[in-house]
Amino acid sequence: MRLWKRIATRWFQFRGEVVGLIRGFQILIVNLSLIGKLRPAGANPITVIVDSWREATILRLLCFTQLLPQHKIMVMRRNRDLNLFMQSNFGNEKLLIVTSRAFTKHYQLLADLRHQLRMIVL
Amino acid sequence: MQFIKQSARSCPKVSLILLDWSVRESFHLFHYLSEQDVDRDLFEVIIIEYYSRMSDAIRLFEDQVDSWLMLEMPEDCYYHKHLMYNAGIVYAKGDICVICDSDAMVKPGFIRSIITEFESYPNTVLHIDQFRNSRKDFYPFAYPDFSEVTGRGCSNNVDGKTRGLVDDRDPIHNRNYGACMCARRNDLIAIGGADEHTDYLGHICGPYDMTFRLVNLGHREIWHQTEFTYHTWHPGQAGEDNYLGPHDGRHVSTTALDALISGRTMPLEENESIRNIRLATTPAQGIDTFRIDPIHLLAWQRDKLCIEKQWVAGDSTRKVWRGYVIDQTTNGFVAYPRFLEHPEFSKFKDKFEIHTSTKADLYERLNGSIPFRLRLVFPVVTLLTYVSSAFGLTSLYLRRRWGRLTHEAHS
Repeated sequence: MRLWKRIATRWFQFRGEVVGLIRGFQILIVNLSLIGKLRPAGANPITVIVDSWREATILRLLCFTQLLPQHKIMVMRRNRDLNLFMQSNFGNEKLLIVTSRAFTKHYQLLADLRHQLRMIVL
Repeated sequence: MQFIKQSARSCPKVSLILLDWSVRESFHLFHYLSEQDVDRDLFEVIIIEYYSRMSDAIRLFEDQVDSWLMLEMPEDCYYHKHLMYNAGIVYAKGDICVICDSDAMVKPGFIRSIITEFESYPNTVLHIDQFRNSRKDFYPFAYPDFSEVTGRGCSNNVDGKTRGLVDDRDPIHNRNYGACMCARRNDLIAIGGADEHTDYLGHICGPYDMTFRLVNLGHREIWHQTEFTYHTWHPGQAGEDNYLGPHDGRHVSTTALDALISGRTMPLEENESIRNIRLATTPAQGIDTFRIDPIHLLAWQRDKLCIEKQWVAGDSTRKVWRGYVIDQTTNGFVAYPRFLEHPEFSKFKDKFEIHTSTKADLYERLNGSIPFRLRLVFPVVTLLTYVSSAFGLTSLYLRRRWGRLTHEAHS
């Protein structure tokens, strides 16, 4: 009985996490597609920061298949992965999009950028 | 509400706020507080009991308790830790408020470290992480040595530091935000104290709600690198069979995460007494200094949280569906893409906002506003996410298993 309870708990935990991941990714792609409609043709690509290679790969695939406009995609798994202050204006767009997962994981680093850049947390 | 005991200390520097909702079996933190290497007048201890139980576990250490307040909430009202935090903040006399576990062990330099840290970095919110040991032979608590707690059975000891401090990949989930949080009382009042919103009812809550809002206000979050608290296993420590409000699947409140993401500094529901202090309105005196909104007594009733003895999963008041934020208004529903919350894009509200009178209409129009090709991608993304997450979890399990085997072989 205890084993079943443990398995059930782990399954619910896993499902909860994956549902969160899926929702987060849906927010990202829907909003990126809508932001793309607002930008003039030929504008510089926007920088998007995600927290996993899985998300980055799917995003690149969506950009490649032209389901989404072109974006510069960066992966930030650890604080030291990206020297944010060295990025010059993020492709001259001064617009940075960060997924809410990446933001909450590295908020101690990113919270200050909110006041300096046009940073959108999705 | 009544005081069993009220602090006589005139000007302590630190106020420790400890909570109980008629569940705690041991308050052994008091034993370790009696061994601190600072003057006892430098800190006070405030106990907040949610219901009306006079705990025998506290009676054992009564000489160490400075203030002991019973909120005397009705038994059918579910516990809300944030209400207790607010009571503690209101009655705290110290400049620094410390919210921590009452069943943790601390070393003799604990209070000194907190005072020193705030003297060095005044504009901060300080957290102290916790070593956790899962050995069941430590229960009931029999004052083990610190080295025993960090030794066999300790799940997060990495070369004398907690895993959360060493690994910066996911601090929110790897560090224990509820173990010990310290902030200046004035700062806590400036952000309206702890949020008394229903989303924080039960197990999904914690002082991190205030930490996030303090960070949004511009405070620096610091994690002490050498001072820790130590926790041993006891039944019910993971909040089993408790009501859970909206959370991210790993027991972190999504309402608190939303506050962090949106940059919000004020609570969704502010306590009246905190507001009075914040706005310098002449506060009531004595026991009336702290007021509990009578609406909470109805809204937090157990009956409203469960159906036939089963807890109803907490639902967030703010819904996000496929990238659209959905708000309920008096006339119906309003939905808008999340990026419109950014001030740079708010001018496009008219273009993207969707108003409907019914939920069904809303979802139909939202579906229509998402390009068909993108909608086709959703199930593929769902499948890929499940597969890659399962693969990641399996590889993590195998790596840990392999690590344990090789470690055993070496030893």
